Amino acid sequence: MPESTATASSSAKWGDVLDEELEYAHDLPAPGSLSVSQSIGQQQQHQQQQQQPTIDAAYVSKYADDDEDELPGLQVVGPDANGVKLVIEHRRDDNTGAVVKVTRKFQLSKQKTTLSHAEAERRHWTKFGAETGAKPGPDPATTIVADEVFLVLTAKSHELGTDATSAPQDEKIKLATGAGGAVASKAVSCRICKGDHWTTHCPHKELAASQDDLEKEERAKSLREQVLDKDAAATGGAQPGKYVPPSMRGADGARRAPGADARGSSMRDRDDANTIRISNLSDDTRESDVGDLCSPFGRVQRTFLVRDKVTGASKGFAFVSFGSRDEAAKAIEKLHGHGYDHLILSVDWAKPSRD
Amino acid sequence: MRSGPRPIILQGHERSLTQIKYNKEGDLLFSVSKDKLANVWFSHNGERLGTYDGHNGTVWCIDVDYASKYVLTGSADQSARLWECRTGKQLVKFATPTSVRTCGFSYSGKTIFYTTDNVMGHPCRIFFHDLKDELAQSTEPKKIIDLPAGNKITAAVFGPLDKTLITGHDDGTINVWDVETGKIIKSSQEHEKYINSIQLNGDQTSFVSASKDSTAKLFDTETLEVLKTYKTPTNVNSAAISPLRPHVVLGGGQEAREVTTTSTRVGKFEVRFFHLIFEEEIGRVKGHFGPINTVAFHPSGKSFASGGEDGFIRVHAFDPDYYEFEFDY
Repeated sequence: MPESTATASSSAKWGDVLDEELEYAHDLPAPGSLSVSQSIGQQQQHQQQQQQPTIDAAYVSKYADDDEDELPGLQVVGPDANGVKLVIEHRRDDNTGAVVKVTRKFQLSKQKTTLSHAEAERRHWTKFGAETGAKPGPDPATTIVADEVFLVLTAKSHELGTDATSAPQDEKIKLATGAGGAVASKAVSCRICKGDHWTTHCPHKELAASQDDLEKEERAKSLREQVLDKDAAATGGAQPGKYVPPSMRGADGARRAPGADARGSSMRDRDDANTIRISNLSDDTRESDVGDLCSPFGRVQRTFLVRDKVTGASKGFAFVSFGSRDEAAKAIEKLHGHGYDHLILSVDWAKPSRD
Repeated sequence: MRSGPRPIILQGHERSLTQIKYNKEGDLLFSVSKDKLANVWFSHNGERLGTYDGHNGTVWCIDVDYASKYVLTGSADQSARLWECRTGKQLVKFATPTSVRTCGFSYSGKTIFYTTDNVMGHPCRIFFHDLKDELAQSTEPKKIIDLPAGNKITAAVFGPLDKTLITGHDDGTINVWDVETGKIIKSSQEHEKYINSIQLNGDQTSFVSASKDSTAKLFDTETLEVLKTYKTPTNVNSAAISPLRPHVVLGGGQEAREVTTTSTRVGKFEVRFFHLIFEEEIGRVKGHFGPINTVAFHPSGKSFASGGEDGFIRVHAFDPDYYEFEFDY
């Protein structure tokens, strides 16, 4: 890259491009942001680094007299096949004098960007004004990396907040006809009632959907009854005096059936009660896909796609929590054995991990 | 969920931002604020390349030419200044009777314009200069257009082919001027209040205006017809069209003087994404502590930046999900 930028002149031809390799690191599961701001700036080679310093208690020297120079130097292991690099550093704690081993883990990933000659040349411009003489790379005083923010795009604007674009219908039409002329509202036709509004705005939308829902509800009800019958049998069979692990206890302290409604017990249990486990998901499935898959069955409160800690690749199963147990039951009934992305899903109640 | 890079916050200003602008390739981001500073940043990592020092008052506007050679700023210190982009050297200072509100280069970069406020008995004026003449040290304007008293230009951009100037006014009018004759070719009264900003789309066939009447409207550049209207609950300070997806991004919020009386949640200081065609709000991005004064899309459409009343610029890159989103209608 530097050699090609040397040939770039101010009269660079458009379309002439050169490759620049940048290395970016993605977030490891628990993001630490210690030196992100200092590292984003390395101009050509980005090695953006996420780290969690872990203090290794086993390696604490008590000899305060030890010569400082004897500390082992910076040790770099890797990067391995997954692009994971370890940087091990020893340093002396200022207060206690103990030697502390700091292991930092980096996930490296390569990202290629294509720059025009003009851009590549500008990367080498010297700084001026208030930045005269400043080192290359962003100055932490003026450039900081913010917390992640999420942009969730949705076609359902009412989910964004109460104030969403609630233009009265007639006003909207007025705008379209009065101002647009050619862009009259006639172009819009509802699929449900053939009115001149978007299908998502149809006042009869609920009616059209309810026919379907009725049938589904019937089936869910019978399933629910089956589940409750089984529960009753299980609870009845619990013997007094026998140790029951906390995760298995019901509201009264007695053993409850796995996955039974545990209202009144700890937060954890309540969460698990309405949670289903979907396994045999394909690698391409993302968390939002799982949410989409489950949203028809009820209010999805939480989706969690299990990922490999290091590579971030999906492990092929996910947990989904619903607002109520009925909804979860409905989802299990519907999705178990359902073909999704060339694989057959296997869906069941999420089992507490302590089992 | 694996997301894109984290947003970068640029803290080069001590007062509220007035305008931010990307250059042609999008590698440089220019920003001006009420604290007389003009900054230029590398957009890929947020590194500050330099500052254009010299103004003594609020800098209202900034523009950069096609080749990123020259930068033009307009300020309330009654001057517009031309700078060398690379070195930050001031090349020309245009002294004006009142403060400069808008400025810009034509697409070819041959002509520059700036407009002044109608205060102290002066009318609002549009000045055109030939850039070649200016570099040869004549500060004679090529053309001056005086507006009727009581009319002020609050936003302006050069139209396609250097032939027209599109101006937004404090009463909500949008005018298209013929640069040669200095006459109004077309006029539109679609907005009810102050126009805060006008931004063209990539091929200059349409532009989006942001107004205090809490709407942004998409206009056809040629016919000045309103194509779409994007409604929000608060005033819109700035709007930009995505060069890549059918999205429009709107920045706004309450007026600065009302901010202290409400919490940030109520203030709605979020950048709003609207679908270009369906006029529906499709998403929001939080982050600023005050109203958003100015937004700009990276020319690639893969990131955008917003500048707020809080003095921060936030540069956001989109995560892969953004490119896959399809509006379900």
